[in-house]
Amino acid sequence: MTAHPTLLCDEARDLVPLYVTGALDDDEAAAVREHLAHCPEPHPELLDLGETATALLEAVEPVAPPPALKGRLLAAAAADLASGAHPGAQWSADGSSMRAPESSAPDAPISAVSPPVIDLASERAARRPRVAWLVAVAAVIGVIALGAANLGLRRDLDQAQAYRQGVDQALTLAGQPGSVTALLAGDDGAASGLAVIGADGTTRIAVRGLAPTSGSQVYTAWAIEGDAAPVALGDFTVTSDGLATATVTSPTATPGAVVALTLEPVAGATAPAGPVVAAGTTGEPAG
Amino acid sequence: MSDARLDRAAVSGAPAAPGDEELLAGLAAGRLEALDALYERYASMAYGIARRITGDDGLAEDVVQDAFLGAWRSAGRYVPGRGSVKTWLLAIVHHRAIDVVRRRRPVAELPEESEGARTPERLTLPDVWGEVSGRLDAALVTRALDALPGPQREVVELAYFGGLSQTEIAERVGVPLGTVKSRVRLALVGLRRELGLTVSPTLEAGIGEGPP
Repeated sequence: MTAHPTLLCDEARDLVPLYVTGALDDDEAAAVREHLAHCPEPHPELLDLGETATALLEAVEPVAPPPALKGRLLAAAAADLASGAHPGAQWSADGSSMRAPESSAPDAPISAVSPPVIDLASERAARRPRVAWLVAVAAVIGVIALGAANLGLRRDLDQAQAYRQGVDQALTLAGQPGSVTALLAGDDGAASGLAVIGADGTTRIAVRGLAPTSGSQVYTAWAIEGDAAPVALGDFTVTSDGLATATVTSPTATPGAVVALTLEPVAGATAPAGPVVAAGTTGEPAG
Repeated sequence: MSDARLDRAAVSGAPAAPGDEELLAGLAAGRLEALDALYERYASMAYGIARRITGDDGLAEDVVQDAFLGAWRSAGRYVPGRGSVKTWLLAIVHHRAIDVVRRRRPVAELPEESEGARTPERLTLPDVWGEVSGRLDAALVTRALDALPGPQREVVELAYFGGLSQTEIAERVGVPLGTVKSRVRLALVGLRRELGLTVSPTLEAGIGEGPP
């Protein structure tokens, strides 16, 4: 509060043109902002010149951003929801609906207020280079589905984190050149997730909502190339948390291949015998 | 089989395009498809502004993402009476872009920026005015800017699109600080007049300024 000088009305008025064009240093701008927020005198020049400066933005030629930017934005926004950083992401106790955000605009009549500050660190952490839009959708689906669970319970939080770790690893692989990604979903909507096949055949799978395996049961991941017979990628078991995050090796990485999960009675199946619990088709490779 | 699930997140389902304020309410409620739709609407303007200010495609992408994320997180703070959603959003983009170029400039003072070793960043939301700007068209604003005397246009562009402080502008242009101040004021007053907006007598009179 005392870090910057207090201003008289005329001094503040004098600085307004520089203030609205962003030509003041942080200290000076803070002093102007503080004066305007507390000054009993009207400062119409602030509104007049402020809107004039803002109008300059209209004159800038629009440029289409790279398509991948939207995917990154939505993935980061979804991560925001999952982490609870988004103020609207307050899930109700029964997990079935969202509470409307409370209005936070108590100072509407004042023309200038201390600007709110947002911490970007978590968005930066959530940002990931070169993640395709498709992959972002996968993350969104996964995160929204998780949000529907009661995140207030420690166990669910741990599950959410475990799943996100699996998704994070898959997304990292998905961003590498030549990787193809399939969103996996079950017909009944219970299971969802993604499988990413890297250029070297490394395959990362993250799926949630699977029924637990029992006895000798396993889930088997398959890659199906065109009309060719399904090739087994690997087996895994699922405990009561319904999560599967696995790294296996795939012989195939072409777009359009189907990745499917089946529930098999025993490990080591060479052809699928059990029901398909989730499947998806790989998209175009990351560039 | 998974298509229906994808479409829900990928496209907005309403047949009639929702208004900006409706979309912003969606952002406040944490609806990703509202963010998607708002992005579709203004990403090109936002990216154009961010590129103009940063002069760097990669930085401009960061700016746009940060700005939309800022809007996503703080949509509840938007005050309808204080300007359009579009103006609010573009002002955030502008503010963020200026922050980025300012932070980048004094290279010696900043630690090496590496992924993972970043200092926590903060996005400050700008004050927003701009009742009129939503109704102005690009050609009109461009003409108004072109109509300014060269020295006035220069200072306002160095400040608003260059992110230079008054001190930096004075050094760059080679004029006293008071001259920078009066030129910026005259430029804004001139723009108002060219845009057909009212100019009050107090706006005309500068206080404590050097020669223009």
